[in-house]
Formats: sequence, structure tokens, C-alpha cells
Amino acid sequence: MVTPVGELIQVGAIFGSKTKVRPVWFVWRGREYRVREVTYSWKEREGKTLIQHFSVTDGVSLYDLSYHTAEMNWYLSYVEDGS
Amino acid sequence: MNSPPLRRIMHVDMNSFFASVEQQCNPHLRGKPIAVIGSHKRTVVTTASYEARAFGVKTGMTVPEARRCCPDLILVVANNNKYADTCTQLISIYEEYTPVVEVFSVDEAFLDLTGCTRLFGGEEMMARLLKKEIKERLGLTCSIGIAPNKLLAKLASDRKKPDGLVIIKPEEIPSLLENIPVRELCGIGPQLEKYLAEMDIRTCGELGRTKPSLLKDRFGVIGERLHFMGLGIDDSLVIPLEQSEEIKSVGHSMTLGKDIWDREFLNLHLLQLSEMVGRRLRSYGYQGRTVALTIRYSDFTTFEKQLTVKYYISHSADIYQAALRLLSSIKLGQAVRLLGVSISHLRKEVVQLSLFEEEKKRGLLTQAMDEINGRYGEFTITWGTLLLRYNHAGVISPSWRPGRYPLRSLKNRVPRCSTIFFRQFCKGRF
Repeated sequence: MVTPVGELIQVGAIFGSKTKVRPVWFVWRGREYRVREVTYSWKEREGKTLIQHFSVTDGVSLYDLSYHTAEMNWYLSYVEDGS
Repeated sequence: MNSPPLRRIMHVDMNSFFASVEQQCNPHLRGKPIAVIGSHKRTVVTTASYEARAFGVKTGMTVPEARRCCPDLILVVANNNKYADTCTQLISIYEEYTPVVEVFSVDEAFLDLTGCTRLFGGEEMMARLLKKEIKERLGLTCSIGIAPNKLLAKLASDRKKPDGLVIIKPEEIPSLLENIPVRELCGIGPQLEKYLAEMDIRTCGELGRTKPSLLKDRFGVIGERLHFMGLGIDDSLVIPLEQSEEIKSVGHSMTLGKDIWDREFLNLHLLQLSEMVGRRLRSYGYQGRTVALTIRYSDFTTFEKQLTVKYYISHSADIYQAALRLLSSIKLGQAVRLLGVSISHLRKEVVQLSLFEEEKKRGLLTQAMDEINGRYGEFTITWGTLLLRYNHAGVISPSWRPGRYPLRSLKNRVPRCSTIFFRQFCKGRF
């Protein structure tokens, strides 16, 4: 089941070469989640703001982490339970 | 004098594109029957995974139809931005192999390999490298066809799915085409296939042997082209995006949440569609004169009515007025399932200073709205009438091309302020 969240989160990410970004962990509601796999990433624009999305899994659930480049904030967009 | 190099064209067709992207995104969906659908209530299947296709699930089926074929079908709501960005990433991969890339649709492209193959160790190696790179970078598979022209390259990629690679050499063409049904050629649909069958033409071999004059008598100007298609001859060029033809029309349509008779409610949808069309038209810098209204009834009967106005228009309000006139002139025979608005007869926008104050204000208001929506996202500001009803996420159009207009997911998007608010804001009331 997909649960929309839309909350600001803390993310530890590696900013590599060629503008590659890889989230490694994130903290949501006081709990730290380790990213086991970045399954997909894509970009979209909302007006002039570029948003980079990362579908990540901790091995249990799927999370959509989005990085809003204009405000330099990370959001947890939604969580999808593993089943 | 040297003869020109033999053309070699590659057609890349992403396998079950939207469904594959979703399966790549979510490991729990991999290997399972899934269908990508639109977000509105009465949506249809836009793409089914190969696992779902094995149960008979097909594009265009309604959700109940698809569920009847496959009770365990997993439905995934389409995310157009994800597919559009993936398409853009694919193009950048293609351009590492050749500069001549034509985006045929969101999941298909033609690449002109002529003169490039030696750099990669031959065309087969080039195709394998490309497939490997797409798999590694995006986790997706594709079918590739390579042939002397676009027609045959597409035919080749269609012959082995998923994850296929078919190469057609020039000397193989006559024997290959001899028994292939004409419907397998891109451009020959069910109707044309039927007309050809009436002339006892069922295979490409038969089509190629038919005299062009006979085909011209029956089909007019396309007759000769059909003859050449039967022979596997196609001189059309691979046209990169920057050289592609100018747009001929701009349109949007939407399936309504339920079948509707109520004209007031229909008018509201017309306004929304007109705003979407107007916004896109203006972003391209065009004006148009012919507004068309498409209506689909509950029994799927579909028709279009159009109106050509005296002057070129681009304001959403003008498009809406024309669409409204069209709708008012129609005596509805059934409840409406789908509405569409489009504008054609386009020209590049010509700025003409208005003599009338009201007209000037209207132009400035539209410009201000466009600037706000361009900066903060579509429908940040819109018509007050639409405030409470905006909730439509369309299905990505196959004709979508990167770089022309940013796709905006409109799902659950509530406008942040209306023009009423905007006017009051401008007058300093806030």
C-alpha cells in the first residue's frame, strides 16, 4: 500500500562525480533507515524548481526521497509497504 | 565517384516501457503481472507487463476487463514525469552512439548508424553495447532492429520481443518480406489492411508486386508509397528533434469521472481543458484559429466538431469561448464520457499592440499568470471557477517529445490562488 507522507527529512547522501547523488541513509520521525538499494531515480520540474527523486529500499519497504534543489531540502514523498 | 554509404538505421523499442520502469522502481513488482493505469476513476490500461500480457491483459482494456483476465493483476498509477525523464535519459544514451536520433514516441527512437558502426566494432556490437548500457543505467530492456531504412528497422524490432535484436541485411529483404502480412508494416492499420485484402493483397510480397497505378487508383497519393513499402523501400530520413517539423496542433482531452449530461459541469471541464491548451500554446509561442471539440459518449461513440474564428487567438478565455460555442451547438445524444479541446491552423505569435485598455489588461493578466505558473508550477494560479475541481492526471501522450514542454503531474494538485485573488492582490487589497 502506498502512503503519501510529504515530510521534511534528514538524508545522508554522497554527491559524486557527474552530478550523481546517492542517498545512503535517512532519518524519518527520529528513526534512521539505511538505504540498501537505490532502485530508480528521475527528475521533474515544478515551475523553475528542479526536484530529483530517488526510489530507495531498506530491504523492507520502498521510499520515495525527493531533493528540492532550490531550497536544498529533502522530503519523504511516500512509503510503500513491501508485500 | 564513390557511391554513398549504405544506410543503416536502428530502431529501439523499450519493452513494456511504463510497466518496466515501475518494476525497476519497486523490486516487489518484478516478475509479477502489473498494469500501469491513469489516475482517474474510469481509467484504462496504458501498459501491461509481460507477465500480465501472458494472461491476456492488453493496452486499452478497462480495469474490470483486465482484472477478469488476471485476477491477481497489480495496478500501478502512472507517473508521467518519471517516464518523461527516463525518455530524456535514454536519448542522452543514444546520442553517445550517433548524433542523428529521432524520438519516434516516448518509448521508441530511430538512430541513423550510417558511418558510425566501425567506431563500435560493427552494428551488432553497437546494438549489444547499447542494450547493455540501458540495462546497467536504467535496469530496462529493449528490442532493437537494424535495417537499411526506418520502415524495415521498425519491422525488425517488432519481430523479437522482449529484449530482441534483429538485423536485416539488404540481400535478405525480398525473401523476408514475401510472406509477412501487410499489417506488420508501420503505417498499415486495420482499415487499410481490409481495403488491401479486398484487392487480394495480404502479404508484403503481394503488395510489392502490385502495379503502383492500381494502388494509386484505389488509394490516391499514398498508392505509390504503399507499393514501395511492399518492396521494403523507404527513403524517409531520421530527423533529430531540433530539425523536427513545427507543431501543427495543440490539444488535451480527459475522461470524466463519470458520464455527464450536466452542461454546467461540462463547461467547467471545457474551461480547464482550454486553460491547459492555451498555456501550452503560449509556451510554444503560437496562436491558432481553428478550435476543435471532441466528445465521446458513454457508448464510446466519438466525434469532433470544429470552428474557425476570425482572428488568431492564444488566450485561454478565447479558446474557451470557441469551445463553449461548439458545445452549445451540440444536442447531446448521450451522457459524455470524454471531452477534448484542441487548436490548429497555427502561426507563430505576432505581438500586436491593442488599442483597447481592456484587451491590454487581459494580455498583461495572461502574461502574469503564465510567468507565475512557469516559475512555481502549473496551476499555481488559475481561474477561480476551477479552484475546487482541479484534480486530473492525464496519461502521457505517445507523441510526447522531450524538451518541448515540461510534463507536470496534476494529480491532487490544488491551485494555490485564483485569478480573483490575483486581481485583488494587484489592486493592493491584501
